[in-house]
Amino acid sequence: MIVKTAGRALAPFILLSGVYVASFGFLSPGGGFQGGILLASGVILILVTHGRKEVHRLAENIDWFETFGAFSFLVVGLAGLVLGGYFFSNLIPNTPLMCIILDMVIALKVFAGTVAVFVYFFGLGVNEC
Amino acid sequence: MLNGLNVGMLTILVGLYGMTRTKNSVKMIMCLGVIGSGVILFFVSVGYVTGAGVPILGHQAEMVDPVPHTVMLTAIVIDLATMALGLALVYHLYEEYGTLDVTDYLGGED
Amino acid sequence: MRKDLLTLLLIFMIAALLLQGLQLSYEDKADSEIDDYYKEHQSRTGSDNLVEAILLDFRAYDTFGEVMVLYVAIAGVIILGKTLKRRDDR
Repeated sequence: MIVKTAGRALAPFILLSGVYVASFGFLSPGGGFQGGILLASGVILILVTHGRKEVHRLAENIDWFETFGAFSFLVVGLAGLVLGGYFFSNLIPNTPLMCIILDMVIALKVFAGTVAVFVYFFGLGVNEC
Repeated sequence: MLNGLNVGMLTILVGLYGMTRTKNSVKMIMCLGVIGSGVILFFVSVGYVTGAGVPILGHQAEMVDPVPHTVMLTAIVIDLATMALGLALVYHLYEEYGTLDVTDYLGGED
Repeated sequence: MRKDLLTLLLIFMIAALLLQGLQLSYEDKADSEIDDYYKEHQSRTGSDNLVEAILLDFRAYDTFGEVMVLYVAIAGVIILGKTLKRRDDR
């Protein structure tokens, strides 16, 4: 009971800090990978405290997040090829646009990957729950 | 004398020793993690400059070498992914053979 | 016992190969010019964080390969989980 309440209270703040770290990665310490891991840890907290049923819809569709992240990374690179002349060139030079977009994409991708791994390994050990 | 470079190298050697000595496949994956930690410690220490600050503008004039940090940021994620894939494969092998001993997978001879 | 000694001998041989690395200290560094280039041209990326600037702008192609490795590994984990579920149903 205490664990459930604490997990439910803490998870939104962990997710918020994950979004903060991912989106301000170009100005301060942090970045896409760290923000993605923080986002995933918020979901994993819910997974540990509330069981698999609460994250069922996310866990069913996690591979779509993963695929979307990988291919939007490729699309951003191709947009740089079209607009700037070479692969992954900055879309608007001298602005942090490229960093922000790729941070978001990488955060989404690392989030999806970590959640997928944890859902897989929790599904092995915990049958009911 | 004892700095991050030496300790990183020694950690790699400890991981190699454990990986060659054990027969338990889960422990082999754990040794892979130890080797990865050693490599990360070594590379981050390679970029260290004595008395320098974080590689962010506006903090300190002298900053540490940011290139090894970048390389290790990707290495951490690759480490996580390979260990997850290895553990999943080990679970499937355990389902198939009922044991974690690597010599049993090859038919029992040493 | 003999295998223990053989393994230890192997590890010591690898340690001997790495002897120069084991004696390094923070002072003796090879001068790298690539980070000077990154520091000079940092304003082109618009990013204050130099690590992010290298990761996502100068070396985004590296990151692309890394993302693809992550994608393939996670796809392997997901596929292994799905085959396991199918075996349980059988």
